[in-house]
Amino acid sequence: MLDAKLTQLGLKLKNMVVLDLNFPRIVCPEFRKTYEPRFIALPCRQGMALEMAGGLASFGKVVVLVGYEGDELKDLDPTFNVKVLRHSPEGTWENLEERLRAFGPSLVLIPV
Amino acid sequence: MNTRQRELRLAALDLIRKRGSGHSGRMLSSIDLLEGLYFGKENERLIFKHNPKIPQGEERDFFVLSKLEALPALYAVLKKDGYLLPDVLPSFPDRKIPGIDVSSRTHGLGLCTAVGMAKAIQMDRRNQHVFCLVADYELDHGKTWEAIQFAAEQKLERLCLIVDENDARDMPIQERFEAFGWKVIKLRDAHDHDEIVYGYMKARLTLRKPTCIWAPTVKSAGVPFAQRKPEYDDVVFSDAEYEEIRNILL
Repeated sequence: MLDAKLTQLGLKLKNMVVLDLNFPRIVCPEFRKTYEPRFIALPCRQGMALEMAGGLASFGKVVVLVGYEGDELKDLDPTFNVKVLRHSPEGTWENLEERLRAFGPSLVLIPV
Repeated sequence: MNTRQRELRLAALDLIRKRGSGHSGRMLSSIDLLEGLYFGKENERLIFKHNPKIPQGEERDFFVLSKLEALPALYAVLKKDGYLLPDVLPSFPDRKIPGIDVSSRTHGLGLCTAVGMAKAIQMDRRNQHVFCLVADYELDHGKTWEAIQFAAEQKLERLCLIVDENDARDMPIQERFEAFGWKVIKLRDAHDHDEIVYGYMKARLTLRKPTCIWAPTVKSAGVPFAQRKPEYDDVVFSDAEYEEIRNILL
């Protein structure tokens, strides 16, 4: 479901880049297949992922992290559009596009 | 040491003295690397594309300061170069300051961000470079090596890392970086302007690999009474010491 949603949104958000940190398998193969230049696999690279996302976001990209487990978003520059997608019982698919378009770094809760 | 290197030393030490805190010895080891980057020229063209009058220029190269102790040196270089800096400068790099591209408060953050920037440059096929100054102890962080590995996998040829190695340690920098797939340029004299500029030139010409400029520097370089003495690494020079340094350098 996540992969399908991101692939649909990728058509509208042309500057969206997905960083998939899952291991051993990525969870966004469809996105990767459709938008290969905008997909980066970072298996288990939890240490560098957020800051690297910041570097990408400094060039105007909306960077979506999937599989990131840290919580240092507050340390990120407030002008960087870095979105950490996290599964949660309170998560919802509603307004996903608006939440990804919203300015600044944020945690976006999606259903389990 | 050329005149500008001397003047920059005094300016940076003055900044530390006025603030009342800083790491003078560690800062002085990096100042010549920054001087070479911002003022170095090849055939009358700047090797680091930038314009102090247009700090956010579209075609500029980027510099990321990961070694936070060198911030006073960067401020001194930016001021000398003509950037309009405010009177009160933050103690950590902040993007709101003209000439500073990345905000940072922790070690290792700058390098990871620089890798992200180089990846964005590659994705967009821009003709720009990212230079990043890191301290040798930052290479003890795990996330640093995640970023180094990623840069080599992605062949980020627009990324140039400058490793300021001012502490003798057993880490074989050249072998490690080359094993990860980087090009390594070792500077014989990391305080010689011409050699530093030549290193940057070679880095710009490297293709299909990121570059590491390995700079074995000297702490408190340029201050004979403090050079290579650990007690001066993290101090603020007193007024008397500052006057003595001023007499030595000018």
